[in-house]
Amino acid sequence: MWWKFKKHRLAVLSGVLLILLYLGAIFCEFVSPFSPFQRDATLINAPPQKVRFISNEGIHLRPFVYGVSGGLQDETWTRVYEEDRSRRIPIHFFVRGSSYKLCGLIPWDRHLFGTADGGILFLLGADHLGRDLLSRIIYGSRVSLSIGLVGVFLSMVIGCAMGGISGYFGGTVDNIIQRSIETLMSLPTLPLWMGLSAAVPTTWSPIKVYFGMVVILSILGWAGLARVVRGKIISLREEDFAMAARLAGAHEGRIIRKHLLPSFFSYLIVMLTLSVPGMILAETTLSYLGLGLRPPVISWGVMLQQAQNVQTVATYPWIMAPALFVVVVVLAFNFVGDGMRDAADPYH
Amino acid sequence: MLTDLVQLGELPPVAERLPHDPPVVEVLDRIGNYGGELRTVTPISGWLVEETCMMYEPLLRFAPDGMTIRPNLARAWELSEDGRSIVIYLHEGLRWSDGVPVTTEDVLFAWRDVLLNKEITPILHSTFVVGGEPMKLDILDPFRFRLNFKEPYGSILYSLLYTSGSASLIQPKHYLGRYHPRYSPLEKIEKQAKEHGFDHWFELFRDMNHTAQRINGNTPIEYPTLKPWRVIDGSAIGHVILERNPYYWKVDAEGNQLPYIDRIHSTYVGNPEARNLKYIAGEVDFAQNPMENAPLLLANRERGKYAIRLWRENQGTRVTYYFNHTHDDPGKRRIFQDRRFRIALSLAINRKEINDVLYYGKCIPRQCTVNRACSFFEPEFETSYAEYDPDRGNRLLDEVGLERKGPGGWRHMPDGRQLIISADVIEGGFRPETTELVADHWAALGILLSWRVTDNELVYTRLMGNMFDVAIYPDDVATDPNVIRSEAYRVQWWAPSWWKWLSSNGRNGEEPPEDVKQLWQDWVRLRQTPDDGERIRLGKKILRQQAENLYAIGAIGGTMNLVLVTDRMKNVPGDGALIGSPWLVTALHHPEQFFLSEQSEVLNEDLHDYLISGENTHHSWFTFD
Amino acid sequence: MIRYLLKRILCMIPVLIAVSILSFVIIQLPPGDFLTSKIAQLEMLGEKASESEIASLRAQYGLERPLYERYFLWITGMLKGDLGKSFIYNRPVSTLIGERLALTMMISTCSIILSWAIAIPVGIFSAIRQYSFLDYVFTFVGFIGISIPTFFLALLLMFGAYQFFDLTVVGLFSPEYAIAPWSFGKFLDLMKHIWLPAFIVGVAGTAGTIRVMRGCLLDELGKQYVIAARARGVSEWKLLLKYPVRIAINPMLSTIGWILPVMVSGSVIVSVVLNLPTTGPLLLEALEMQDMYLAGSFIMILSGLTVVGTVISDLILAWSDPRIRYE
Repeated sequence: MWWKFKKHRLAVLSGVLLILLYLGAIFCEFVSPFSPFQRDATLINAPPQKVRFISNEGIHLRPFVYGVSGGLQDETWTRVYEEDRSRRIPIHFFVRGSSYKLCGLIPWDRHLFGTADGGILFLLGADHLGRDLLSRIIYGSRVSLSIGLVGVFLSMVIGCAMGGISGYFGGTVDNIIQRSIETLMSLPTLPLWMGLSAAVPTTWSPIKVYFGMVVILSILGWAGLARVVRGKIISLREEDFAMAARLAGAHEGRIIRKHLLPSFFSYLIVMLTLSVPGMILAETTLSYLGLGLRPPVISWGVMLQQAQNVQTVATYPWIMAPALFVVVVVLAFNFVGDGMRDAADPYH
Repeated sequence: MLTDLVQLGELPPVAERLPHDPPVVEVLDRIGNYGGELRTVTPISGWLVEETCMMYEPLLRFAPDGMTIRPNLARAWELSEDGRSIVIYLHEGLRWSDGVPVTTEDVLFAWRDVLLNKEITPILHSTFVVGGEPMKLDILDPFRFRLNFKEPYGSILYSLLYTSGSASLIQPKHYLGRYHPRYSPLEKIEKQAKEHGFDHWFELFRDMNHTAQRINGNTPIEYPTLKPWRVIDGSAIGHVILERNPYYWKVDAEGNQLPYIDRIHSTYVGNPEARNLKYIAGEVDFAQNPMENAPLLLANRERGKYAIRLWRENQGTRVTYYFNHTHDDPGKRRIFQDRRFRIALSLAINRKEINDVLYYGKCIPRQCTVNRACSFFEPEFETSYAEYDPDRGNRLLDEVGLERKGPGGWRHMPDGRQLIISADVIEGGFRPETTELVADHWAALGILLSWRVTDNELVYTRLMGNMFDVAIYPDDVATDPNVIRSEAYRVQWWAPSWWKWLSSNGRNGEEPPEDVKQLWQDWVRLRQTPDDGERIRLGKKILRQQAENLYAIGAIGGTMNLVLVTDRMKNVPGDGALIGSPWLVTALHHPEQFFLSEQSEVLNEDLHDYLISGENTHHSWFTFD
Repeated sequence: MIRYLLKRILCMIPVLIAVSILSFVIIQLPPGDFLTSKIAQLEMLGEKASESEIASLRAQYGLERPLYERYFLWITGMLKGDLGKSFIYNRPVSTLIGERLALTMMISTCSIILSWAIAIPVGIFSAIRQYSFLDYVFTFVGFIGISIPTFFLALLLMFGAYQFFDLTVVGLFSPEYAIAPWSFGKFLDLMKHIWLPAFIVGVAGTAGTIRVMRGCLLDELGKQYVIAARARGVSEWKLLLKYPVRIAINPMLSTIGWILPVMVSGSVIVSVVLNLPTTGPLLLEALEMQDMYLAGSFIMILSGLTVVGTVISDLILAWSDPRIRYE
């Protein structure tokens, strides 16, 4: 199966990209050039700086950016900036910057890239308080990327358990579980999310709210999965190898675990991969509605909610950058999932 | 527009429609021409926000300077020396929008049958209550009535500014009487109520009483009103049309009956960005906007053919912090009650930075106190502890006994716990952004402010339940009437348990210290004294107490409302005019004398090119600086 | 067949009851109730609700009564056909939903038609010319459609339409026609305004349908009967349309059952952003303000339609695949 997957170039590329993004999320303190709370009141809404290699002094091996000058225009109350060619700010790698605790545990102060003496480096521009957008996006990826994975994991555990039990035992147990799945699936998603998210007390700490959101997002996820699992289990239950195991005296649970589940494991993986984008998009939608995660928590959904206005689109469009990341991640997951499905499909 | 109807005999001529001596409205620029349709937008379905602000007809009103009291529905008044009674004169010949004359019968109806009726109005507005008892009404003749109070009520004039909407003292008896048991048999109205889907007659009554409701599209056209425009069509989803009231009772200096504008078309647009799009496309003639959208609105003025006028908002400071003096936690309570703590935190706020970062440097860094347009204002209230002095703040906190400890250098309370202040912030109004900056400023003092954005209803519930460290609201105790109406400088917000004690005369809640009790006494006296001089003295005393004790800590005042006015709208004030509910709404500037510079009887026509004469009227009704 | 149908209908009833309880609970879950929402809303706009107003409203809305009592009132009302009265609008729920229903269904229909009209030909093309440049382009565009959050796309397109074409895509009618009674002119006006909302609503669905179409068709084209037919000399076009396309469309047809609730609720988020007078914004508002009857009845309707839709879908499947009937 791995061979077939490697053939699908787009999927492989996406897979690599995702791994890089997730690594960035785990080590976000190291990867981002600045702290997400560090702000520069003179550089509010500054546009992205272009990385260059050539200046009027010639070609440089080390990339650099020019300084930024400008500020509030009195007439239009807009902030306008331009490059200050007199100041060249080289980009260093593995540079000493603001100190932090890697993953909240290990104190360190080296950053993957940054500037040597506190120069400005806004690769994606600055937001309305003068904070580096790229750093905030990287920190935000920790929340946004993990919600998808954790949510899907939770769905998988519950879904497989429910579907497995339902499909294997049949009868009344099956009926009850099926009816509850139907009930859950006939409730319209938006009201369900809204009601549950609004019920999450905002007095909870961000961590608790985060897990509350994960639970809410996976509530609908497991129902669909359980149904599919049940279908597969039913069809496999009657297969010969299951009969043989039963005759050999194996315990019911063991049969489910060791024999039935692994046979459609690949299918499961594909389904899960394709569910992650849904969760990420759901998180952005809920944040847009003002539910779930909120400032000062940093997530792509929260950042998008603040970018969700005509003024941003018209005047400071780089603040919409998180949307780009959302699109890329969602696409990547879809490509990877497609690639896996093609690879796992025995008829291809 | 109405001449046709007069000619057809369906409407009496103007002279018969106006009162005998109609009040004259001074036009801002010039006498206007009749006609046109004003387009507005409302953000809430079921409530025409802008129209409610434009059509405000209390007994008395403010002049556009926000300080002088002028007659309105009341032609004149006589306040007795001792402040225990006031005689009010109505305009003779004043008529409802259906032609029926307005007399003190309507006043009696409003007071005795509506406001005092416990089923229709369970709780009487505190405006009408003095010394624990409601006022008494005497009808003197069809156009004069007298209000009597148990105790002196010197600030009654300010209260009469409030007599619009549900507190209206003039309600149409001939229309609403049909739904009232005093004038219609009870069984009949109970049956009517059931037919309309209500359980009781008073529910139907409240539903029919459009005087008491905020303006919405459900008002039937025949409903009697005294406002310049009345609702004629609310059937289409999200659109309400209003047309001129043929019996409107004000004229301009040349004797023309007002209003000038024929129609108002209000569209419901719930999504803020859709509204912004309509604004910049020039599809809305008059709209108020917060400062957040300034760059967008200012950039599109030429394309959308509109101007942005900068009107000053009614608030003292836009984002204000109220520490909870009656906190349940004894450690925090001791700290919050310590004056030096609050002063330190106020000194640590870098107001200039907040002004530059959020308000484009255009507003006024100040302490929380009243507007300059208030008779209780003194300059020192505004600058009290408003300078940026974190060093002094640190010294004060050392004195209070908050030691810096631990790796972060955060301050800890005497009992050893770290002082963490938690704040629930409501979205909007720059509150989250300001709080983020303030959190940084207070971190320099070693105080950790842990904040998060919350639903506003939750915040309200927590405030009532005394479950907060610091409350964050816009301060609206900014004008004379607001100081008089808000109990002891909003003690409810910074000491809920003391407020309970004070407002229940000691039955519930917790007893406050002497100076707060004195504050309450001062406020009661302020409200009641008939002596103008003493009122001003007491007002200043209350505000001085706030300036010295900082019950409310504010950062930026003089915030502006960006009023969008299309080029075809005239007689609208320029920069510096006042705005802010409930006293200084748009009605302050006499929208009845606004007019559209092109007459447009045909409503389907596109907007033409306007006379962009470049004269943005820069009359300042009131200069803030 | 009939027995299967009856069995399914019988199972619907407990599900509907459970749904009603759940939806009621969900609406009441957020702290506070309609009244606190209303007060908060007023405060946001700088108005203070008088205590008198609050007290009278509290009694009128029956918000002091305990939860199960309110549920019972609502359910008995619904069984009688009375969907209750909305707190926000002070009008019957059935009227509110009814007057928006026609437009909502129109947008949903337009968007589905648009969506299928684009997706099916593009899907077929992609399958035939697999791995061609255009195939990659379509696949990519299709993916973009499902990965952008809809509210974001709506905002971008709304702004783009204004910036480049001077069109304000707010609402479904120009102001003059909005208040006018129905006429041919009004209909034309509607057609002028409806295409962008319909497009935005359908974008995600279009992209998904393209992928499904392409995938299923590819599966079919690889099968042996196709190879055999090609060997026999059947023309390419006939080959394509006679069997593979019809079979590939099957999965899409089986999802028709779920179209009912979608048609009624429209796309909520897009309708809110574009300010369309449809049922979507109504539902969102009801949920935000905790308008008990409006939200509850609406959710019940949607759930009911979903359940019915599921039954219909299952029926279609059962009709086409006899094995399921005998389960």
